Amino acid sequence: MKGKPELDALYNLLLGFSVALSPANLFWCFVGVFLGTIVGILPGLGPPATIAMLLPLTFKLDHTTAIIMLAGIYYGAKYGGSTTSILLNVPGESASVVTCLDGYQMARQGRAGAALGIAAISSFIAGTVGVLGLMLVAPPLARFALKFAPPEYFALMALGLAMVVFLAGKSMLKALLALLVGLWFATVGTDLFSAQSRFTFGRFELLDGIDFIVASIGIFAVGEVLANLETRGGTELFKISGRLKSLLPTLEEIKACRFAFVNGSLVGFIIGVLPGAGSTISSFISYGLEKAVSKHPEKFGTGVIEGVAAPEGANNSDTCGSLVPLLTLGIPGSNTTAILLAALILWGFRPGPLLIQDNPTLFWGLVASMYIGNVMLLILNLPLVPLFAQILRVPYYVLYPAILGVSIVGAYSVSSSLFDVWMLGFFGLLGYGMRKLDFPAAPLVLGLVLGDGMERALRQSLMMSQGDLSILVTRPLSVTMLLLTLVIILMPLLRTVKQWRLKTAGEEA
Amino acid sequence: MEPRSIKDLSSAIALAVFGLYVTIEAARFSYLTEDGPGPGFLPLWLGIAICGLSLCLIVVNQLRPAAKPLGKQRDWSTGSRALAGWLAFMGAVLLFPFLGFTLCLVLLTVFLIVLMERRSIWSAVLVALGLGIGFHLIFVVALGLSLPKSPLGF
Repeated sequence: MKGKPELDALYNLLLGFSVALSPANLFWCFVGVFLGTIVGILPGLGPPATIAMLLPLTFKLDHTTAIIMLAGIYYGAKYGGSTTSILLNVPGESASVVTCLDGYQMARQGRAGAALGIAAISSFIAGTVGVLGLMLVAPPLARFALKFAPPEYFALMALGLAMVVFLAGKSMLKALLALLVGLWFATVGTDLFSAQSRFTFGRFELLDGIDFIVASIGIFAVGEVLANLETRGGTELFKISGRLKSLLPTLEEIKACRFAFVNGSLVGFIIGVLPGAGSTISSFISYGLEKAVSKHPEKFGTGVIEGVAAPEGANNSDTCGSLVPLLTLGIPGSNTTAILLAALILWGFRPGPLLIQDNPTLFWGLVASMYIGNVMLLILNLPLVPLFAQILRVPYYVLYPAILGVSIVGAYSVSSSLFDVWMLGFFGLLGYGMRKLDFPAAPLVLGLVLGDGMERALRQSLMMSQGDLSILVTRPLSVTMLLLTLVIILMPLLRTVKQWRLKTAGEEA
Repeated sequence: MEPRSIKDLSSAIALAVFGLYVTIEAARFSYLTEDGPGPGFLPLWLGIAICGLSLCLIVVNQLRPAAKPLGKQRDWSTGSRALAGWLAFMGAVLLFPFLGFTLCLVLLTVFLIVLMERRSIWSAVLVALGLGIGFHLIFVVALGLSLPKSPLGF
């Protein structure tokens, strides 16, 4: 029987809750989010590896229970990923790189608890909004995502690269140079179109390219440790506040993050829906957007709470977004969703347009369990904030080797290769050098993240049009995003012209 | 306006040389193929852009007022400590195949605490053993990660 669509959704959600609230599903949901949090905190074992390892164990479970647990690992890891970014400047997983920018600075100012707290709250809000999106707009949004062809992906990547404007720091010139070097790093390895190796210096280990997580851990964490080793006794790394009040974000801070919650939720979900876009892009774009609308953009990068809330929200909402093409079209947009797709197929499901209709218990049970899982994560994470913040009380001479150890484990476990650890050392020195020479590191990482996808999309677009560049500006979605990119890039120039005019007018007066 | 900076000048020159290398190397790859842009397409433009922006940085730097003498010499002298730390880190990585991750982490910790921070050997040994055991228990035993092992099996 077909009723009003909203009543259908409500009925289906009630069905989903009746499934998700069964003791067994509640238990496995908790196991999933708990494991996910641990996996997110500890570098070295990402969600794809964890889900792949646990997949054989799920064959004995009911399929709905199994997908509830595996999805719990996926979104739980996003919660946990912020912890090491904030406390140690070591991104627990790729989407948490942006959190390092302001989160770590907050920790240094004695506000680690507030940063961890806002990350948990933002993740909860964005995760819940993401589930709402998954529930209400999954099929139409999935159809929209299918309109994204290479020209649109190129435009999206260009929009992502335009975020360099917001990551620039003091010198736009230096930021652009860092971005270009990052883009060059992304070209290292085998060219996917011609199978030709580029800039590999004869090393077969470089044929697969440079891993983004190795580069970011090196630049942020090892570079930071080297910078702090400059003076004996260390610089005063962290201010520690003993008051419990300062361990959590204040009401004013939560209020200040209102836009960041909305921004992170929407940007994360929309970009998550696009297969292959990746949560790192969504966190960069939401950070850039947050800075663009902020009343104090100049403070970003020095420990601004909105700079933590927006990217953390985005990378959590992105998880729900990425489930949209998986469940409604059978298209995985990331490594983790590819493994989830494999799991669904192994269990005998056919992810695609008919999945929701044919298997309402599975889909709605999963949706309802994600509401419950988000609440579990908030309850699990908030009380742990003061405990995690205590890590900063550890003396610096214990902290430095611990950070280096965690960094090595994180880099080595990417592909169990010592070469990655050498690369970690190289990027650590590069990060330190950039710091000394006042080059911002974030644009380099941005270039490395987006470079590969951008080149692929550009070359595919030009192949489609047989070399005609106009393909990029004749498609409505692509031209809209490219225009937006242009506006963002011109913003600093317009600001300079405006300041110059004001100055000239003042002098004339 | 910020004064002229030797750091900006040297980094811009280094980047210009790097950009030149990228351009020359990219010119070896095909720029266009029958199907569209070739493997040299993006790197070539990247190399040119890096060269161009580096030159801009040099020009912008030279247009600034001259820096006062003395400058920031201290910046570079403190760098030697960081460099020593980095060399120790790379040395530990070099020893991974022979001593394994845990032992190398222990040695690196002792080096950082005793030689870099001038603290007592006992506190160094205590911290190093604690870290070594902690890392082994968490990552190897609990998470089952396969980290480089010494001939002794850890």
